[in-house]
Amino acid sequence: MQIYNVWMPEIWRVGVAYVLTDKRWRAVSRTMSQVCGVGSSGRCQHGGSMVKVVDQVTEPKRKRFNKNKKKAWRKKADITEVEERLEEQRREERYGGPLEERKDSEMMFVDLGDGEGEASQADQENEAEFTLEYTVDEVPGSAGEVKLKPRKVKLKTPKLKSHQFINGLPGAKPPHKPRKKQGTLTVAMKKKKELQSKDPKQIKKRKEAVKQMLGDLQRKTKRPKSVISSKYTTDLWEEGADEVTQECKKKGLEESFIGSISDYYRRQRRMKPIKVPKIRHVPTSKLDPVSIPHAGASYNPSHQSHQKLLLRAVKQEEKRLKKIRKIEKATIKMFPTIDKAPTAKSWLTEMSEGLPKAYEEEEETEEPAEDCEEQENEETLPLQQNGEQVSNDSVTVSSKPITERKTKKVRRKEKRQKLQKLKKLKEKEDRIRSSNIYKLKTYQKEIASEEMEEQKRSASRRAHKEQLKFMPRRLANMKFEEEEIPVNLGDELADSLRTVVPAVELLEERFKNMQRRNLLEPRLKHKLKRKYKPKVVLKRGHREELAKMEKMEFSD
Amino acid sequence: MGSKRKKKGEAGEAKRYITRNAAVKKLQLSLRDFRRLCILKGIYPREPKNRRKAQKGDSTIKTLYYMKDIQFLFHEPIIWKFREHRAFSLKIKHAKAKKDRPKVQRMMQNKPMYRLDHIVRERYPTFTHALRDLDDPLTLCFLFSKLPQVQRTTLNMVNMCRRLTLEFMLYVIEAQALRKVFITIKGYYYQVEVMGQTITWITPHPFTPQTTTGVDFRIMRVFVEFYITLLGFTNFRLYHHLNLHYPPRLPHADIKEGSEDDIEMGDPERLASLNFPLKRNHVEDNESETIDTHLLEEDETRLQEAREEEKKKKQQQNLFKGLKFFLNRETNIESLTFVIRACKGEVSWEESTAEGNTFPVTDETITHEIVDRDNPKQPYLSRYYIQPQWVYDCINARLLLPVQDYFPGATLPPHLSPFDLDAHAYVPPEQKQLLARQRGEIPEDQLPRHQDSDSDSEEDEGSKKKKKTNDANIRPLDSFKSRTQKRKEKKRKLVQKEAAKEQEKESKPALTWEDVSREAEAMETQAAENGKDTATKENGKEEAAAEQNGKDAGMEEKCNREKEMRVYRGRVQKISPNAAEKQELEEKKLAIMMIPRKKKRVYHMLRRREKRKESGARRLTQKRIAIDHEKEKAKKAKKMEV
Repeated sequence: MQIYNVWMPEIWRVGVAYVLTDKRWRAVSRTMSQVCGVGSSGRCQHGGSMVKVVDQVTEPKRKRFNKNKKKAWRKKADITEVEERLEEQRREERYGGPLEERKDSEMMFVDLGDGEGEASQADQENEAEFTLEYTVDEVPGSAGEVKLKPRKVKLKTPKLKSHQFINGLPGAKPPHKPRKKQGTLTVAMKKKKELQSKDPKQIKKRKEAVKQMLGDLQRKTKRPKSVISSKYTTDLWEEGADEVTQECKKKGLEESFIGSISDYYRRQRRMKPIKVPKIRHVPTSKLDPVSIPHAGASYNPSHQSHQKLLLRAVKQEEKRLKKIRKIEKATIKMFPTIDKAPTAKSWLTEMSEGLPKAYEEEEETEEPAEDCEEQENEETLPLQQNGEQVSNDSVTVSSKPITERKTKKVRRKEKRQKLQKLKKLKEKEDRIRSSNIYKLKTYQKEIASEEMEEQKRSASRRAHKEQLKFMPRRLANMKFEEEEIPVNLGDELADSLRTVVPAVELLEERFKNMQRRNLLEPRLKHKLKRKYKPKVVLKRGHREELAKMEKMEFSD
Repeated sequence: MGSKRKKKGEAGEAKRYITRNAAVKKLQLSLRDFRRLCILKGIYPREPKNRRKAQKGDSTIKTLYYMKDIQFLFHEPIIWKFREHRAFSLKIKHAKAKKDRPKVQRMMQNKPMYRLDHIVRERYPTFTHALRDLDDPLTLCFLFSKLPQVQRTTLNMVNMCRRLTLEFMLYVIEAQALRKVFITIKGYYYQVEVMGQTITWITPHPFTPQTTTGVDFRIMRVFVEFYITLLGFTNFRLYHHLNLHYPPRLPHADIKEGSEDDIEMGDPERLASLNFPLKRNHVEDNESETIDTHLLEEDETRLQEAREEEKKKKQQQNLFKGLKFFLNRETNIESLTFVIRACKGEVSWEESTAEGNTFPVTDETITHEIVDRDNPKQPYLSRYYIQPQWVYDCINARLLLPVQDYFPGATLPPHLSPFDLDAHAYVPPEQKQLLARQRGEIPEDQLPRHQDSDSDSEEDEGSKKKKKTNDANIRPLDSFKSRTQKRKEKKRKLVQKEAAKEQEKESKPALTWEDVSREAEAMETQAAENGKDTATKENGKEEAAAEQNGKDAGMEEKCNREKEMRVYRGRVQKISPNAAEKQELEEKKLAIMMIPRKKKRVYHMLRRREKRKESGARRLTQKRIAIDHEKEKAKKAKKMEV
C-alpha cells in the first residue's frame, strides 16, 4: 500500500497552534495525508484530532487618523497586510519556494518502508538518550550500601530542534552555487597543467612568485612598529644621497653636471626648498649641554676645591634663607602671636586712651588714684581751650590785599626799571658768552667725558645682553628655580668608590638643565584631575576580619 | 591725502611673536602633539624684548614662539602623520569598544608610523653638526638605559637606549677616543674626542635607586625618541668610518651562521660586556698625521705644541697596552672595562659575576687586580692589588702613576678634576709632583716624595721591622716596559723552540738596547725642545734619564754603548746666571717705566691683584708646611712612645 507523506507548511499559515512530540507529529501527518488525498497541493482545512484550527476571525475596526501630514502616513498607515504577504513569501522561500512552482517529486516521496518500524527505532534512540547522569555503584566490601557515582561518559543531550535551521531546512535552495572544485578539471586542462609543471620557465616563475609573497609577508611582520625600533642602514649625511643625484650617477653622467641637473629637476617638480628662518640654528642658550663639573664635586676631592664648592653652596643657601626671611617679615611677623594678640578688652582700653574715662568711673570707683588723674585732666582741659581761643584771635579774617590804583608816573618808572634790568641781563649774558671762548678746553673735556660715559654704558648694556644668553629666560608664568648645588659635607664623603652615594637624581638634574637652557618652559607638573572623589569602602571580608580582631582584643 | 594712520599690532614686535595657544590653533593640532612637534623639530619658546608689545597690550606672561618658526612648522610632513595617528586612535578605540578583534588586529598591523630621518638631516646639515650636539643625546640615553623597566617608559625605548649607548662605547673603544674621566658625586663624566669634536656625557653611578619625581616623562620620552634616531645614524656613520660592521659584530660571529636575526644581533651579551674587539673589514695601518699643519705653518711654537699634544694623545691611547687587569666583583665593571679597553688594556673578571670574561684569576700574567675593599686577600705576588681610582687618575694624567698610593686600605690621593685647567696661585705639593711627572721630570717609577721621607725617617729611627712590612707591600719595581719585554720574550721562546739558548741570550740584550735607544732618543728630542732652559735643569734631566735607563737595562747596556756608534751631546754655552738675572730685572724696570700714563692704572691694578694672589698662595703654603710639620712631630712622638 502506498501512503503519501505530505509536508504541510500551510498549517502554520492558517494559524495553528500545536504542541507535539516527534512521535505524535508523524502520526498526525499520516492521518492528514489520508484526509487530504493523493497529490493534493491545496490547503488543508481540516485539522487532526489534536489540532485546533482557528479559521475565522472578525476583522478589527480600522482606526482613523489624519492624512494631511507625511509623518502620519508613515507612522499610522496599516501595512500589516503587506508585511504579512512579504513574510509569507519569505517563509515560502525558506521552505524551497512557493508550492505552485515546485515539482511534485520535490515535495512527495514514495514511502516504501514500514512506518511503524521506523518509529520504534526512533523511540529506541530517544530511550538511549534518556540515560541517567549517575550510576549505581556498589562497593563489594560494604554490603547493602549503595552509592551514586558520576558517569564517566558524557551524557548525550538531544539536539535542539532550532539548530537544524542553521544548515537550512531540507529542500531549501542554497543561496549561491558552490564553486566547482579545483580538482575537477577537464582532460585537456589536466594535460596542459602537467605540461606547465614540467616547463622550467614556468617553475621558475612560480618559485619567484612564492618567494615574493613570502617576502611581502615577512616585510609586513618585520616592519618596525615605531620610530624607536627602526633600523639604521643608511648613511644619512652621505653626499648625493638623494634620489635624483643617485639616478644621475647610475646613468654615468659627468659629476660636474649632476648638481645643475638635480637643480633643474627640482625646479620642474616644484620641489623648492622650504624657507628656513634665520634663527633656526641659533641655540636658545649659550650654556653647555653638559656643564663641566666643579672640581670640588669629585667623589674624593682635594681639600681646597671642596671648601670652595662648600662656600658656594653656603652662599646659595644664605640667599635662599634671606628670601624666606624677607617674606616672613612681611607676612607672619607683621602680626602678633596668639598670646600677644589683642583681645576685645585690650582693644577697648587702647582705643579709649586719652579719653575721659567715664566708663571707668562707673565700673571702678574704688580707685582714688585714677580720680586724681581725672581731676588733673579736668584742670588741663580748660587751659587747652583757652589756648585755642588765643590762637583764633591772632588769625586775620581776610587775606585779600588792599590795592590802590597806580599813577601813570609810577607805571612809567616801573617800565623803565624793567627795561634797564633786562638790558643789564643781556649785557651780562653777552659778556659771559664772549668769555666762553676761553672755556673751550673745558667744554671739549666735558664732551669727551660724556662720550666716554656713553660708551661705557653701551658696553655694559652689551655685556648684559651677552650675559642674558647664559641665563634662563622667562618663558612661562612660572619662574625657573635654581636647584641646590649638590655637595657632600665632609663627613658624607665616601672613603671608597664602592660606597659613593650620588648627591642628585641625575634625570631630574637633566630636566632642570633643559629648562635652564630654555628648551622647556618651567611649568607645574600635569596632575590627574578627578571629577569625583573615589569612594573608599571596606571589603566585607576585611570588615569581618577586623571585627573579629577587635573582639579578640576585648576578650584579652 | 595723507598716508594711512598706522594701526596698533600690525607690525614689529606684535607680528614677530605668536602665543602658544594661537600656534596650536593655527597648526590644527592638539597641545600634546604641538609640544611633541616642537621638540622633534627643535623649536623652542622665546622671550620677547618687550612683552607688552609682543602680546598686543597684554602684560600677563604667556609662552611665546617666533611667528616665523611656526610658519616653518607648517611645512613639516610629520604633522600629517600626527593627524593620521589621531584618526587611527579614534577608529581603533571604536573597534575595540565593538570587540571587533580581527579589525583591531588588521588596523594594528597598518598602524601609521612616522620616521625622523629627514628631521635629523634637517637639524644637523653636516655630520660635524650632529657630533657637536651629541652631549645631550648621550647623557639622556645613558640615563634611560639605566631606568627600571617598570616605569612608564616603554620597555622598547629602554632597550634601544641600552643598545645604542653600548654601540657608542664600543666605538670609543675601537677608536681609542677617550680623553678624560671624572668621577663626581653626580656620576661619571666621560670626555671623548671624535673626529676633532669633544663630546662629554654623564653616566649615573651603578646600582643607585631612582626616585625621580620632578620630571615630566611624557616630554622626556619625546626627546629620547629623537635622540635615539640621531644616535642610530651617527653610530652607523662612525662605525663605517672605522671600517666596522654597523650592527657591531664579533669577528667569530659569522662562523655559526644561523638565521638572519642571529647575525644581525651578533652575540648581544658578549658584545654588551665590551670586552671583545669588533669585526672589521680591513685595518689601515698607515695613520696619517692628524694635525692640520697647513694652518699652523707660520707659527712654529704653536706647531710644536700641537705636535707635543699629539704625542701625548698617542701615549694616552696606548697607556695600558700590554697590561692585564682583573676586576673584582665589587668594582664598577662596565665603566672600568670601557676605560681600560679604550687605552688598549686587557680586562677580565670572575666568570660568575658577568658574561664575557677572558682569562681566569689564576692567570699569572695579570699585572693589576682592581680591588675596592679594605683588606683583600693577596695570594699572587706577581700582580699589584690596587683601588679603581688609579685607573681613572692614570688616564687623566696620561701616564702610569706610581701604584703605592693606591694600594687597598691606603688613604687615596684626591681625585682631581681633569676639566679644571685654570691655573691657581697655590698649587698643593701633590699636584706639583703630578705636574712634574707629566713634564717628565720625575721618572715614572720613582716613589712619591712624601713616602720617601717617611721611609727615611723610619730608617733614622732604626725600626727595621716596619720597613720590612712596608717593602712587602711595595714589590720590586721593575718598570712595566721591561715587564712587557720579558713577556714578549717568553712568547718568542715558545715560538722559536729550535733556537739555542745561547743565541737567545745574545738576542736579549740587543732587544733591550733597541728599546732603550729609542727612549734615549725621545729624551734627547725633549731636551732639544727645552734647549733654552738653564743648564742646571738640563743636568737634573740627564740624571733622571740616567736613572731610568739604569733601571731598565743596567750593566749590559753600558757595554753595548761602547760598541755602538753614538751621537755626542754638544756643549751648552754657559752664561753666569747672576748677570742674566740682573739684566732681566733692569729690563723689567725699564718696561714698567715705559708704560704710558693711561695704562699705568690698569697695570697697577693687575699688579696688585697678582700680589694678592701671591700672598694668598704663600699663606697657604706656609699653612701646609705647618700641618706637615705637625704631622711629623706627632709621628715622632708616637714612635718615641713605642
